[in-house]
Amino acid sequence: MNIDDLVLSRAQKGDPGALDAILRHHYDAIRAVCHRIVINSADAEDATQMALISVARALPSFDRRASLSTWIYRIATNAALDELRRISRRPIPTEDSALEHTQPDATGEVDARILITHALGRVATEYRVVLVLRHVADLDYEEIASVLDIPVGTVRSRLARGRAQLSEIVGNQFPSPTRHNSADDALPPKDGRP
Amino acid sequence: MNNDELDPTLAQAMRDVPPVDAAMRENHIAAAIEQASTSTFTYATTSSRRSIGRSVAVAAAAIVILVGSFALGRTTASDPVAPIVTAPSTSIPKTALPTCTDQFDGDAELVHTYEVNDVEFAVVNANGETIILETRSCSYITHFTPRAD
Repeated sequence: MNIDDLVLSRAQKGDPGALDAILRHHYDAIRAVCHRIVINSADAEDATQMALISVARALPSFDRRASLSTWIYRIATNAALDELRRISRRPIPTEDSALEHTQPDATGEVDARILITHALGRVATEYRVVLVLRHVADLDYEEIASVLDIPVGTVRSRLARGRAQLSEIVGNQFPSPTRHNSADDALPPKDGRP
Repeated sequence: MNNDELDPTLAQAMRDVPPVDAAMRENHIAAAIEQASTSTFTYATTSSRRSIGRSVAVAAAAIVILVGSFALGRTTASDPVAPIVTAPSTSIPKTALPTCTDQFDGDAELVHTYEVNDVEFAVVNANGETIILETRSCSYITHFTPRAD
């Protein structure tokens, strides 16, 4: 039994120190998934909290059929989608105000984080989730299919459509600030098309 | 793994989420660990509207139950001192109540149970009247006759 298995076993038996170690180890990944799916920062923090609670509560029943990280990503994704459902009556904020006040710096670049947040907020949720699991969580197609309980073929098609949407939005919405002086380094408008 | 189909700059921007506040991280983890060992729901986030909503709903339900039980308790108790009222029991004694309701001629229907000072009472509709029984002994406490308007 390696150290990871030992920590997991102890956490599953109720050792708070082991549980703390597991939550701490996966915290950034959970939070990144929640932020990129939920978009709005405050709501994403709520989703992060809910995901952590769900992990802590469900860990004793984790059966190890999937890897721990895949299992945790599934919980984080569900928490984020739950949060989206909860806030579905209001539009998804995309930090427009921050974008409006963002000016190109000396090299003509704008904050890529704000741009991508803005763009992701406009990608359809079902495509955005797959994009996030692929490019933020770094899961392969089979893992994404497992997390979302959908066929691998559906993962592929959603990824293709998601990338197309994202590229189109980035290209249409922010062409000038990212192209001023360093088009090669900025967010390319069309290169990401499948 | 390959990100060939998405521009690396775009992919990197997706991974670059806003930095976490250290205190919030500690609160998140502490709350999750607490949840693992207790059934009490606590919520340490930037927004607590979910827990507030839940608390309000629970409080409202408790008030409705408390007021209803209290009114019923005052009606049935001869002691002028208000009884200590607890939330009504959802568990209906499976042996006592059929026996209790059997004592009435005609149909008798259990409507509700509630507790006052750890003594369980049942509200039964029988023969057009509302009857209060003490469930353990099936003792008759009182009854109400609908007012003829």
